[in-house]
Amino acid sequence: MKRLLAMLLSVAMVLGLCACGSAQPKETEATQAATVSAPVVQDDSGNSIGGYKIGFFYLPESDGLSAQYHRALDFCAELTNCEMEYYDMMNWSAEDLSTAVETLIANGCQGIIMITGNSPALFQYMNEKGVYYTGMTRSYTDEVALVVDGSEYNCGWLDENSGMNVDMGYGVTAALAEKGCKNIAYVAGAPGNQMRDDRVLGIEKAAEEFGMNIVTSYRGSDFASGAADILATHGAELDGMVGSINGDVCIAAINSAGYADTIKYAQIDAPSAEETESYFRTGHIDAVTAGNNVFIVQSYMQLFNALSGADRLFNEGNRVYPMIPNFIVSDEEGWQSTVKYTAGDVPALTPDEILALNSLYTPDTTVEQKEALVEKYCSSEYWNLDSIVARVKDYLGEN
Amino acid sequence: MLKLQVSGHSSPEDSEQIQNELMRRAKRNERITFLLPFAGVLALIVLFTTLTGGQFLSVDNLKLLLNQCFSMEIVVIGGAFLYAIGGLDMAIGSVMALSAMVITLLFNAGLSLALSILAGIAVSVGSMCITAFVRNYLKVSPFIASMCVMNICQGLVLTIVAKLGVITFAYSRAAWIDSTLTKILTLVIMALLGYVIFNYTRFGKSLRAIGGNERAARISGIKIEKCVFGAYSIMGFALAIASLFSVIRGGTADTSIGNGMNLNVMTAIVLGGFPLSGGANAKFHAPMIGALMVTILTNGLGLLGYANSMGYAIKGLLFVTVVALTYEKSKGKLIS
Repeated sequence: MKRLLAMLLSVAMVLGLCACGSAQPKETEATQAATVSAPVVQDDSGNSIGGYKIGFFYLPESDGLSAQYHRALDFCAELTNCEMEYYDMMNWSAEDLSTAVETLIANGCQGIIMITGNSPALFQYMNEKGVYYTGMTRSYTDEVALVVDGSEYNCGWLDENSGMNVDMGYGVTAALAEKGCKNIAYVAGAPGNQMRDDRVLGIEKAAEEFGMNIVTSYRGSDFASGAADILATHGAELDGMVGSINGDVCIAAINSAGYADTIKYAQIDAPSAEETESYFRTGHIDAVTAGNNVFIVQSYMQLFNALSGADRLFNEGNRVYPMIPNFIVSDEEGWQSTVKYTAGDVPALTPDEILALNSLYTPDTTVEQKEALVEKYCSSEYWNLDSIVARVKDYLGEN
Repeated sequence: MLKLQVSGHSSPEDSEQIQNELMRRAKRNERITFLLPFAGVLALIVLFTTLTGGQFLSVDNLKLLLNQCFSMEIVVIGGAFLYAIGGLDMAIGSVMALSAMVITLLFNAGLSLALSILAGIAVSVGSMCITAFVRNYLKVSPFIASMCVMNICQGLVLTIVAKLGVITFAYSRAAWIDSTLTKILTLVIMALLGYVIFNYTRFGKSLRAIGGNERAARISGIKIEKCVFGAYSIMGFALAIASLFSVIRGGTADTSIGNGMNLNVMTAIVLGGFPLSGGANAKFHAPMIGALMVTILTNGLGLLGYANSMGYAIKGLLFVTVVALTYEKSKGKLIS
């Protein structure tokens, strides 16, 4: 009897949870601070451009970086009359990744932003289903190339090999060097992943150039334990630490070990916006990278160009396109500007800058001119905090 | 509560009546325990078919279900043997990763697929037998031993990846393995073999006897150590097969292969009504039904547009409910 009740209760729970929301995926939310407006563009038949569904899988929105990605993608979707579908990754096993993509496609997504994943089987599946995809060069292995090269659905690969990740590791370490650090340690993810390895390369390069001594390091998946071990064994001799991680476990570890006043800390991926501001204020963090959300806008536009039948950019050869880089923020005021003008409701690129990449919205420029525009976006003269803030303020009418 | 009119002293007829009543209740409980997981799966199928307007039972989605549950089903086939002796194991995922690494490296180096798979099986079985050895001869709890094996395997995989970088599987040379037909055939063959061995061989029955009461099993002449090695070997074999399909599906051999499989297997075992401590009530089909339930839940909720995090919450609720009401408290601790 009890077991039967348990089954009925479980079914009731499932029914209740299903009834809590609609059967349709939630619609994207309109931005609040910025009015997203774009001219209504129509195709030859007089229909409005847009109406596509684009899928994205990443950590839940409780993660700061994920929240930035969601805001940026929702902004783009609103701008182009499209819809986003999200799949929260609780686990990054190969099986879970494949499940994520398959579920997004089953839910009607016509394009997928592949933030990671190098399964030829998965790309073959997307080819067979007629789903457009774009990814990063970390996914473009020799085996994947055999499946995707020449495919209509391949919308290109963001070029991580341009050294962006190396620059990120270099930049935050250089920021510590500027603050006088000489003996540092770093915590990073396990080796074998290009992004992680490049970031460590950057850290080590900066350490060598600035005459810093890397006392010890941890590379693995248990960052909390790794950081605690480093501090327990070498805390007294360290004056700086770099984290190539998410969250704030290193900050917590430094604090718990009692080294908050003696060890300066820089992290490549900032914790959440509110926490990072607070950490800058209290001195628990000394440098972070920012602008990490902009490449997601590039990926979106590559997909949107293909879906809308517009001219496709960087569509030759391997279809690798340049990635707009990050920048370093090393004080509270800089972080506040970053949050408001690059990681808030406007993702650092204004609607004009975004739509300038689509030939249906800007028919007067050629493919070459649009590609040159992307290269311009990537330059340090154009892409730095002050310039970005000025442009976004102008768009928001705050100047 | 059993209510009987017992006058003064119990007569042989009263005793027989009590005996019959107890037997009847035991059989009824056994029938419910047997049917409950099937009823659960059926209820979920009906629920999601209704809520998705039939999309749940479409051919495309059934193929997705097969893809999504395949590796777990293969692993729980081996898991039935291991858990029949109460062998809670934390090394499952790591052993899968190491096996996948070996298969990939050898296949990429030019060795035939068959030999690469055999090598992967050897590594996988060998790794699992370390736990069996430690359990049998060093008398260490298998749970603790498995955690050591987990670290060993993980360390080996990380070391190889650190030295060689990203290791991609040569998918172009073996794409046929990822086909629906291959997966169905593999699953059917392994399930049939496993069913026959588990239910109709002396070995299978011995495993359940060990799980029920190891001392009694030893006294009755069962070769405990041999049976334990057998159970871990079968698990190792299943892990190697699952790792092959996982690495083909995933593309690269690294620690992401088998990540989270320990908990998935445990969830499947419990939801299927298989006792974690093993014993006579261990039914071969139970973990397979449990694995199917987990996959249907994840797939169905995904089709309804809910984030994966919702699926975890619901799975957690179900897990706690089922464990609380089906776990035999008289058996003692969960981890021996």
